[in-house]
Amino acid sequence: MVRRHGCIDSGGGLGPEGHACWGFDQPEEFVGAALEFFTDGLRANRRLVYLSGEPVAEQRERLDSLGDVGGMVDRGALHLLELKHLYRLGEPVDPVSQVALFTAAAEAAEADGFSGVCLATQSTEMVAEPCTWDAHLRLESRADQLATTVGFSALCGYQRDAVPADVLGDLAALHPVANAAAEAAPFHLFGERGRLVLSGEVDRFSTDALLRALDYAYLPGAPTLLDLEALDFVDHYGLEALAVHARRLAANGGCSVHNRPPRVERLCELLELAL
Amino acid sequence: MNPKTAQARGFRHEAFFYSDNDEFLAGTVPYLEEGISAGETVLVVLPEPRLRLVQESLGGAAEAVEFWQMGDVGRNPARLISAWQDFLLTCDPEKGVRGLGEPISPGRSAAELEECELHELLINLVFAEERALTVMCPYDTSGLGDEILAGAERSHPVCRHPHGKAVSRRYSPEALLEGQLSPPPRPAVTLPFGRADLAMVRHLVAQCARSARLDTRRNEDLVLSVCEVATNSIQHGGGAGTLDVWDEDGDLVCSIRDEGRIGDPLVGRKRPRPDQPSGRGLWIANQLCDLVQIRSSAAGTEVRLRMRFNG
Repeated sequence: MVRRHGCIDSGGGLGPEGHACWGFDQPEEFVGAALEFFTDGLRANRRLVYLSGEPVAEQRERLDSLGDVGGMVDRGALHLLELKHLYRLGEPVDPVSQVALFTAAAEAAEADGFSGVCLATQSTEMVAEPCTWDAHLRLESRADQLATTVGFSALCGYQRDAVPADVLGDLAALHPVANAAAEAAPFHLFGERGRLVLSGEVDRFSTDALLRALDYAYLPGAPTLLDLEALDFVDHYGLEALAVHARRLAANGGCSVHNRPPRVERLCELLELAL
Repeated sequence: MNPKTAQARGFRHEAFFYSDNDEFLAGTVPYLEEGISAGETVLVVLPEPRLRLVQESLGGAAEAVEFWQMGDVGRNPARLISAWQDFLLTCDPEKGVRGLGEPISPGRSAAELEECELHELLINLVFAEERALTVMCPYDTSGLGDEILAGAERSHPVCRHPHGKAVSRRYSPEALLEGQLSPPPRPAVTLPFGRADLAMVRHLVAQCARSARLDTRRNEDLVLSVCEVATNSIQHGGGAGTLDVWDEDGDLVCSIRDEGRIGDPLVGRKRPRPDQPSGRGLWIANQLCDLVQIRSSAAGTEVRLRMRFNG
C-alpha cells in the first residue's frame, strides 16, 4: 500500500501518515487548511501543534473555531509555538536534529496518551533566506521519511509571494501530497517504510527537478531503495536521470530500484539501460 | 549518391519481380544457395507463407540461414535498418553477407507501402559504405499496383525479372522526407501544445487509446511515443507544436506537427549509441508503434504515429 499521493484541495483526509505542502497567498487560506487538518487530528486523538511566525495570542484567535482553545492548551491537546522560539530564522536548520525533535515530540505525545502529533506549520519564515533552502528541503524529506515510522503527520504552509516558485515546487515534490498552488513538478518523491517512492509523471521538463529531489532525499550512509510502483509515466529522459542517480549512489550506500512497472522494463530494455 | 559507387564498395540492392510462388522460389532459392555455398552469412526476412516456402525448399541448407518474420521485425519498416545493423555487427567481418527481404507485399496498407518504399530508398544511403552486402527484395507483381512497382525501380539500383537480369535506369533517391502526407480522412481532435502542456498531451492520447480499445501495453507505448515526439517539437521544433488524433482504416493515428525541419532522412532509424546526447525519441517511437511516418520540409515537420486497433 502506497501512501496517498498527488494533488489535494483540502487539509482534511490526509490520514495518520499525511504530509502535505500547502501553498497560499493569504494567511487565512493556510489557517482554513490547518483547521481541516486539526479536525481530523482531534478525531484521531492526536496532539495538535500549531507553529507559525505569529504571536501565540494571534494563533489562538486564528484557531478559535476549533472550540475551547484555552482548555485544549491547558490539557496539552494543543501546543501553540512561535517559529522564533524554536529556530534561528535566517540560518540553515540542522535536518538531523530537527527530525530527532519531531520523533521526540511524537513519542512524548504517545506517552501522554495521544496517538501521536499533528503539526500544522506555517514555515514561510524558515525559508526567507536563500542560504536556508538546501537544509530546509533536506529537512522536509527526512521528516517525510519519518512519517510512516512514528505517529507524526504534518501540514506545511508556504506563502507564495515570499518563496520563489521553483523552491516551492521542489518543496511540493518532497511531500506525498500538495495543493495546486504549490505544485510545480508533476511527481512526488516520498518515504514509505524505509523505501523512497516516486509517484506521478516525469518527463524531459521535470528531470532536473527529479535529480534535485533525489539529492535532497538522500540519507548518507544508508542504501537507497527506490520504488517505482506509483510512477504513472516516465519518458527516456526521466529514466536516464534515474540511471545517473543510481550510478552516483553506487559508491555511496548503493541504490536499488524496486517494483518497476512493465512499461519501465520495456523502455530499459529498448535503451539497454541498467536500472 | 551514385549507385555505381555503392556497388564498387560492395553493396548490391536488387529488386526481384515475381508473379507466383514458382517464380518466387525459382528466383530466390538459387540466390540463397549461391550465398550459402560461397560461405556467406545469409539472412531471410519474409512474411508468411513465403518464409515457410523458402525454408522447405532449402531443406537441410536452411540450417545455415537466419530467418526473421517480416510481420515482427518489419511491421514498422522504419525498424528494419537498425535490425539489419544489429545483425551485421554479429557477422564475421571476413565473410560476405546476403539478405532476402520482402517488406513490400500486397497485405500492406497504403500508408505502410509508402513507408516501405521510403525504407527501400534509405537502405541505399545507409549501406553505401558497407562491405560485401547483397540484398534482394522480392515484389509480387500479381498483387501490387503499378505505382508500387514503379517505386521499386526508383529505389533499387538493379531490378531483376524472372527471365533475366536488367539494370534499372530510374534510380533516384532524393528529397526523401519532403512531400505531404494525406490529410486526415475525418475530423480530428486537435491540441496545440507547448512546454506546459505535455501532461495534457499524454492524457489526451491515453484517453483516445482507451476509446479505441487499445490494450494497456499498446496504450502506454503510444503515449510514450507521442510524448517523446512532442518533446522534440518543444526542444527542436520552435518550442511548440500541434497534436491531432483520429482513427483511420483500423488505426489510431496521432500526428505531431511543428515548425522545425529535420535534415537527416535517416532520423530515428539507427540504434542510438549510449554516449549520444540526443536522437532517442524517434527511435523509441519507431520501435513501439506499428507505423511511423515522418515528413519534413521548409514548411515544417509532421510525424504521424499509428497503432492498429487489433494489434
